[in-house]
Amino acid sequence: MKTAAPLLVMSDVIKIYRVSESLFGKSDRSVRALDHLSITINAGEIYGLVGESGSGKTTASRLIVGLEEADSGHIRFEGQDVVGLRGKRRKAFTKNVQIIFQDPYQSLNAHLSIFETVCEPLVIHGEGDRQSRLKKVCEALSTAGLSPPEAYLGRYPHQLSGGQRQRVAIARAMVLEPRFLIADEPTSMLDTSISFQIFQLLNQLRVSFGVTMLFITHSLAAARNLCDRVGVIYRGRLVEEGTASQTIMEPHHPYTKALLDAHPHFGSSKHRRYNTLKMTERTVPSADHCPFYPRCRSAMKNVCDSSVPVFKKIGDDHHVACFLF
Amino acid sequence: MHTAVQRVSFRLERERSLGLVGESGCGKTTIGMALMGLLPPSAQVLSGSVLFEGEDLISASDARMREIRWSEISMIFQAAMNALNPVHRVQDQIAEAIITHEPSLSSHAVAHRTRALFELVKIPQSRLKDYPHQFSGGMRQRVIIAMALACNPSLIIADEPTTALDVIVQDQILKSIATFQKETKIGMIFISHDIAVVADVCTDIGVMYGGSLVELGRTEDVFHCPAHPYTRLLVGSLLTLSDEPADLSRVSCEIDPTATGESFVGCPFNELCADAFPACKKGEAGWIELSKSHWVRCLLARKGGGE
Repeated sequence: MKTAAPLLVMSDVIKIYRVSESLFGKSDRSVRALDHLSITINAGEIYGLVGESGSGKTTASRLIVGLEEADSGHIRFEGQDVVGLRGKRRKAFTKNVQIIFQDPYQSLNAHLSIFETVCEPLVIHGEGDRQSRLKKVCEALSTAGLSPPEAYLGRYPHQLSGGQRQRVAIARAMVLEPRFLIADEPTSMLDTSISFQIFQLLNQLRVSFGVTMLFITHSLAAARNLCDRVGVIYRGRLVEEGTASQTIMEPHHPYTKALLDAHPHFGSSKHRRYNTLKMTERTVPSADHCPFYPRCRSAMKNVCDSSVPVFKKIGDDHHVACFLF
Repeated sequence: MHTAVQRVSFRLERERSLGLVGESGCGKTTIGMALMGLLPPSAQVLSGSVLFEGEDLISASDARMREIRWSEISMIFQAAMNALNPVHRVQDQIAEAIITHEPSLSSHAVAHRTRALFELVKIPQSRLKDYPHQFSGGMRQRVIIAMALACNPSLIIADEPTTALDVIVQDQILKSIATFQKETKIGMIFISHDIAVVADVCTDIGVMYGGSLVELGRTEDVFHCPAHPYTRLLVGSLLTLSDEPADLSRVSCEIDPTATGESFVGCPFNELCADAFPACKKGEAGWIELSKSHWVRCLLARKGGGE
């Protein structure tokens, strides 16, 4: 994995949302959704981005596909800056980068049949003719585990279960044979046994098509089982990054440990508790501080509350942003 | 007519908690609503009985049910955002529940109890006068829990109380539910689709498939020695934080939770079960006792042991 060339590089990306306090007019209050976020995803790997809601996971994915624009920083795909891409280049980029959204109940157009849904990207990109499109749609549906595909072509989303809908969304994303796939919490709306099948399917896509993937999740268990490398994001900053086994089996950052503590642990006998989460939050200091300072049990006075920790290398491929290390 | 739930029997002792797990659409919530007497008008309880402290709730009058609801059996609803009234202060909403059921209580006593409830669910007293929108999702769910406990019920039904919440918040809410359940010694029915969550919180687990209860027992027994093929599938599809990642390439069967037909004969899982044999299509498996605290409804268990 180390020798592979980076496919996607986000460097020092900042995204600020302005919040309107009252019904009328805007106030000066703003939220930093992403704060100097830097991520490198290598060709062929599945990179897991883990964090709680509001940590900026989804914002990162929206910036990559160009649904929103970053306030500063660079996002490069195959060495090319994706911000401000127009015309042909933009089209070539969107063909290579596809996204699967969280909620298959909302991401599919209820008025379009499954064939129309999966065929739409082909029409937009002017790929093939009627015959070859039908063939491609069928292939994509079977790849996504909907077989026989002919049985699904004429159906509508409301006739499908949640798991089947998510498979349609995956087929739609895969029909253009993209190089890079973003899966934004693809199983959070699904039952446990169905989620497992979707994980299997994503893994299968990587094995058979060599798709590179950004897998966004709040579940460390999902990341552990599917991803090669995992980045933990907190309040828009990456706090820890490493291989899946480093990050999850030998976590360093107190926030990663807190996430692990929160995971239901009945099944695993070797579970140990880290207890890094402070029950009552500290007041936030006005100066720059570690984003996790208010909730960190082992925060140090005059260190964690007065400056922001930088990303430090603590092992092969393993980085952490914490003053404790 | 569609049969949502059938062949469900269980008993819950005081101080114990039963977790009902199953796919969405398997009838978990229907059971909860039937216990509360809150089934929609289109639904009907055709047969069976629900005995609560010896009293049959199915045949109870509406007036009697209204008395029992909340003061004896209360419920924690799934979507905390929608269960609170946005235009009333949370303290007034909790007080309303208390006053409705105990009109004789003085306003001082009501205020005292509201404060005690907030303490139990660990919300600072300073937030009593806040409105729902000023709380985070987790805090709102705590308010809902406080409200469910308002009249000292002896049974609480929690319907997916943490589904919409984040991992860390979910963990905190589950801990607070487990704590109050132990401290107040009330019975609890915990409905969830996540068997890992149920195993963390409950003393017993009931596994549902296609509207029937298929396995029932102590949490340790069901979780560690699942006997029904569906339970095995559920436990097997749990992703854990183990040293070795799970083998994602192994084959698993396709679940269709809506596959419950009309009043079916045979085992509801037989179409998907890898080990099904002809008798599964015809015969209805009765409860088979695997141990003093573990029962399963599967013909295979009779054939030759649970494992």
